[in-house]
Amino acid sequence: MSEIQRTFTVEGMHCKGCANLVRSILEEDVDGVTQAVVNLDAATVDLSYDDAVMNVSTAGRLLEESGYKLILPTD
Amino acid sequence: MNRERGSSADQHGPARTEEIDLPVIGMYCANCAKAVERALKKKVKGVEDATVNYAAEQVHLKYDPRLVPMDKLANAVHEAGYRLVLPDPDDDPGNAEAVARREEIAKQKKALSVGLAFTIPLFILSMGRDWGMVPAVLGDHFLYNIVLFLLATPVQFYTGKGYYLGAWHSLRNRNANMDVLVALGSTTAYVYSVIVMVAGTGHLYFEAAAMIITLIKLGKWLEIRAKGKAGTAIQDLMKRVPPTVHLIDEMGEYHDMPLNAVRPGDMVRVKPGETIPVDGVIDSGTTSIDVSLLTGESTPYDAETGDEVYGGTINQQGAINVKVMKPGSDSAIARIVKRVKAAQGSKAPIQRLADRVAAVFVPVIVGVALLTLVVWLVLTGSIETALVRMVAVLVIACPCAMGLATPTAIITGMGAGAKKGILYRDAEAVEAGAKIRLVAFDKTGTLTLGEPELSTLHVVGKTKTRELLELAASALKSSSHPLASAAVKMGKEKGIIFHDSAMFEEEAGFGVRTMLDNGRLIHIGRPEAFEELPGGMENAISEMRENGETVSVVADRYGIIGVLGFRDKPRDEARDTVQQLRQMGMRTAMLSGDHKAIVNSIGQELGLDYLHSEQHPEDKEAAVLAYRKKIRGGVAVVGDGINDAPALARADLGIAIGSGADVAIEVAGISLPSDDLRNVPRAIKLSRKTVAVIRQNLFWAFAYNVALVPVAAGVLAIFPAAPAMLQQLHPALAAGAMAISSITVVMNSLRLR
Repeated sequence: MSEIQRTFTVEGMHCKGCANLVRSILEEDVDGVTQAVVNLDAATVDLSYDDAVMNVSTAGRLLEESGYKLILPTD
Repeated sequence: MNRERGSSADQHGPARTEEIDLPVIGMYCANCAKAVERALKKKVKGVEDATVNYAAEQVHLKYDPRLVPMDKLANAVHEAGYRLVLPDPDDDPGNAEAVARREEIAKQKKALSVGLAFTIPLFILSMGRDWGMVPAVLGDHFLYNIVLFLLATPVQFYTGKGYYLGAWHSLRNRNANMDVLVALGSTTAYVYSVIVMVAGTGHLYFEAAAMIITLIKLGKWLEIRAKGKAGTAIQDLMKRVPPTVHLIDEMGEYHDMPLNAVRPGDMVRVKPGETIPVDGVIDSGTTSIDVSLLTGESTPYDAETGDEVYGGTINQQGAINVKVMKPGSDSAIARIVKRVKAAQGSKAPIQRLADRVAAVFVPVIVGVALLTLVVWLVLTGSIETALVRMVAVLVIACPCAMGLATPTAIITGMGAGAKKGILYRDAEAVEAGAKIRLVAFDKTGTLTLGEPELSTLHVVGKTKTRELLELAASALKSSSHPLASAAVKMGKEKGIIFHDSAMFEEEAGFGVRTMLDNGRLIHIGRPEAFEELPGGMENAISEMRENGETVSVVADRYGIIGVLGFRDKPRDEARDTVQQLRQMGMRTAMLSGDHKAIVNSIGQELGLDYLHSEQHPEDKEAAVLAYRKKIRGGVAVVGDGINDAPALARADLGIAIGSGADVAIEVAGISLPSDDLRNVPRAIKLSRKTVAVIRQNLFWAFAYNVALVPVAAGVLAIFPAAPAMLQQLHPALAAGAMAISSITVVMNSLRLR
C-alpha cells in the first residue's frame, strides 16, 4: 500500500465544467483516489492515489462513460 | 418554464414530486451538461432525477419540494461551476385584487336587482291596499297576501343573505353593527308577517322587511362602485430594473444574465444610461447617479470607487463596475415595493360611522322592545298584544335610510371634489380626511418646485456680477445638469448674451470646463474640485451651505472669479398653505431626503412645526408610524415621488400631488393633479364637510323612525281621541317613514354639490 502521484492525460475536456466533472468523478467515484488536480490547458490530471486500491482501468471506464479518455503516461 | 404537480399531500404524507424546467447558464459543452446532472442528483437529497437539455440550456428536474429548497439546487449547480436560474417568486399576484373587486360588484348588483324587482311591486300592492286603492274583492282575498309573501321571500333570503352572514360574524365578536340592525328589523317584520298571514288577522309588514333590505343593499352597491380601482403601478416599479444584467466573470468576460441569477460577490457592469440593478459598491469607474428614487432629488450624485450604489437608481454618463452586495430581490427598489405592500396590508379598515352608531343603537332598541313587551303584558295580560307591540317596535326601529346615509354623501362629496381637482380614491379616504391632525410634506417637488434656482451670485476680484452670470451661463449652456439649467434660465431671464463655446468638457466630480468664444477659459465645479480656495471664500461657502444652498465655484485661467449658489425654491403658495393648515388646527411637518441645512432653512421660512432631513424612504415611513402612535387623530402625508410611496402607504391619508410618480398616485387616498398646494387644505375641508353631511344624514335616517317608536309601542293608545292609525304601528306608517327618510337623506347629500 503506497500513496503515489502520477500525471495522466485526459482527452475531451472543453471547459472548466468538464475539468470539474473529471475531478469529481475521479475523486468521488474511483476508490483509492485521494486527490485529483486537473489542468485544463495542459489537458492533464495530477492524480494522488493508493497504488494498491486504485484500479486505473476502472477510472478510465468511468471517465469514458462521461465522454473523456484517460491516457496513461508512457513512462 | 412549466410545472406539473404530483399528488399533493402535506409535510408528513407520502412523497410529493414536482417537476420543473429551469434554465442553466454556463454550459459550454455536452459534458458540462453531465456535470450539472451529476451535481443535482448526487449532491442534493430529494432530487429524483435531473435531465439536462444541453441545446436548450435547460434542466428538467424531478424533486420533492419538501426536501429541496430552491437555493440548495442553485448552490449545487454553482459549486459545479454553472448557474441555475431560479423561478421568479414575484409572479404577478397583482390582479387578484382587481378581479375580486369586479366579482364583488357584480354579486352585489345581482342581489340589488332582485331586491328592486320584487320590492317595488310589493310596495305598490301593499300601499295600494292600505290607501284603499285596491278593490276589496281583490284586496281581501287571502291570495293577495300570498302574493305579497311570495314577493317578499326572495328579497329576504337572496338579497338579504349577506346581512345574515354579516350579522352572525358581528355578533360572534360581541358587537352589533349595521348588518345586525338590518337582520333584526327585517327578520322580525318578515316572520311576524308570515305568522299573521297564516293566522289570518293582523297587519302584514312584508313591504317593510323588503324595503329595509333593498334600500340598504342599494347603499352598499353605491359604495362599492365608488371604490378606487387597484392598479399595477406598484408591481410595475420592479420593471424599471432591467431583466438582464451584465455579469463579469473571473476571466473578465461579459455574460448577460437574468437579474435573479446574480448573487452577492458577483461583479456587474453598469453602462451609461442604464438602471443600476442591485445594491452594491463601486469597484472601478466614476459616474454620477440619479438617486431621485431614494431622495427625491433630481440633482445627480457623484460617485466613485468605494461608494455605495442602490438598485433602481439610474446611472448617468459613466460606466462602472459594481461589486454586488445584496441579491436582486433585496435591492433598494425591491425594498420600497415590499414596504408599500406591507403598509397597505397593515391597514385595518376604519370602522365606519354608521356601524358605530348601530353598535350603540341595537342594544338600546332591543331594550325598548323588551320593555314594551313587559309593559303590555302587565297592562293587558295578553301575550299576543304584547308581542304585536314588541314586533312593531323592532320593525320601525330599523332605519333603512341608514344604508343610504353614508354612500349618498360620499358619492356627492367625491363628485364635488373631482370638479375641483381633488380625486378621492375611495370612501375611506373621504372619511379619513376629516380626522387629520398632522400633515407631513415631502420637500422636493412638493413644498418646492423641484428645480433648483440660481439664487446667489458672489463675485471675486474685479469681475462684475453681470459678467459672472454671462460667463457662467454661457459655459453651462451645453450641460444638462439641473444646476446648469438653472443658471441658463437665470441668464435668459436677465437677458444676457450667450457666448458660444468650444472644447466643452464635463466630468462627474470635476465639473465643466470650456473655452468661450471671447477667449475666456472657464471652469465651473463644486468647491471640492478646486485645489486651493482663498481663505475668506471657505467661510462664505460654509455660510451659503448653512442657508441651504448648493455651491459652485467659477474660475477662469487666472483664478477664481466667482461663486454661485443654487436653491430649490419653495412654491409661492407653500407658506400660505402651511398657515391655513395651522388655522384649521393642524400641525405640519417636513420629511425630506435632503441635507439638514437646506431642510432647516426652508422649514423655518415656511413655518413648519417638525422637520426631518436626510430621510430614505424607510426613514420617512418610520417617521409616519411614530407620528401615528403619538398623535390623537390622523396623519396625512403629501408627496409626489417613488421615495414617498412607503410613507404615503403608511399614513392615515396619503395625498399625491402634482403629476407625480404612478406609484404615489396609486398608493395615496387622494390625488391632486394640479400642482397647487392649497388643494391640500381644500381637500381636508371638503372631507370635513362631507363627514358632517354623513352625520346629518344619519340623524335624519333615525329621526323619522325613532319618532315613530312610541307610536309602535302604543303610547298613543292611552289617548282614545288619537286617530286609530296612530294608536298602532300601521304598516303604511312604517313604509312611509322609510320612504320619506330616504328621500330626505338623498336631498341633504345633494347639498354637497
